Amino acid sequence: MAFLRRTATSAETTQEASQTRVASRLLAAALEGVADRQQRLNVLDLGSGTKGTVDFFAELECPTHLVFADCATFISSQPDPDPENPPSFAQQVSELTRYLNIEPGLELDLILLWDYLHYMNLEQVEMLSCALQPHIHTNTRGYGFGTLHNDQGIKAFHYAIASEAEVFMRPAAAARLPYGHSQQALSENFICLRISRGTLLQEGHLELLLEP
Amino acid sequence: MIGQSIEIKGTITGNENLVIEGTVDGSVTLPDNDLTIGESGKVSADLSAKNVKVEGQVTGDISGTEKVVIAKSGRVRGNITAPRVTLEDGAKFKGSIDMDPGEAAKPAAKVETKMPGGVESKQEAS
Repeated sequence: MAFLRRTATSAETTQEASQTRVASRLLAAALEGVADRQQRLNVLDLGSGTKGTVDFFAELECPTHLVFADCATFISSQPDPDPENPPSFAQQVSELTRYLNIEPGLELDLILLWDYLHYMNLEQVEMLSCALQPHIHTNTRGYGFGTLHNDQGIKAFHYAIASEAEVFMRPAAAARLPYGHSQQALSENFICLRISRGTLLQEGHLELLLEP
Repeated sequence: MIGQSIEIKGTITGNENLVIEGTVDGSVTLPDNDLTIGESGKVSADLSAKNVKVEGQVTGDISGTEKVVIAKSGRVRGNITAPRVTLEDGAKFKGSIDMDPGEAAKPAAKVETKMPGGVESKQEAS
């Protein structure tokens, strides 16, 4: 079941009866300082828009700019490459950059990776890293999930922020993610941020905090 | 109300509340009123109103001077700007959201045009 410690079964939701609210050990570090922040906060969520995450940032006193990238849709909609004329790495980065649609010059303060790196093969992880690199600054933080062993497929969930130290989780349509990249594989391919802290959870899963 | 069988291409402006259940391609501007895209509404347009509620499909940017709500049946691809934004469980959204609670706290600018004799002018919907 959920690999984070469950704090409440969810009567929290109306439509998604299976949603659970679970405690996080590293989300608070990723969100450090946002409660007292005055200047605009720029956040990228690799998923599609969620009620919990929007509600959380709506409660802040500072202006917020949230980008919901819906990366899963992008990945699943990619056509098979033409074997005689495959797109170059640079062309694919350019296409992903257009899809992400992050305003040029925007410096991201927080990137909510959730488990979306495990929807991607390692080449796509590297492409994402290249697409995000121009938006990384010294205080950018990332938050997501990994796995201790790359032979373990990660159970697939949809995620949202519930509070500074809690995450909403509900099972995704796919029972398991296509990939279960190890911490080392992510470190070698998602180079725009480095994994600064990892907390081992149940079933070999890791909660990750990333920094430049 | 724009009914299910109605298709409009162009610009819609006015000063009364509007519900769109049909198809609109263009732009909708209701500066002082509420706009609802009903469950059967399909809109490819930039939308601007005091309050905007989306229960159908929207491709385009949405601006609300007070609040924007994406209902559980809503599907939105575009950028949202409003002091307050709410996504209901089940809503589908890709794009950006700009929220500034400070904008909601500011009193709305009131523009009145006094005609000779003290009569207030009122802009009619076009």
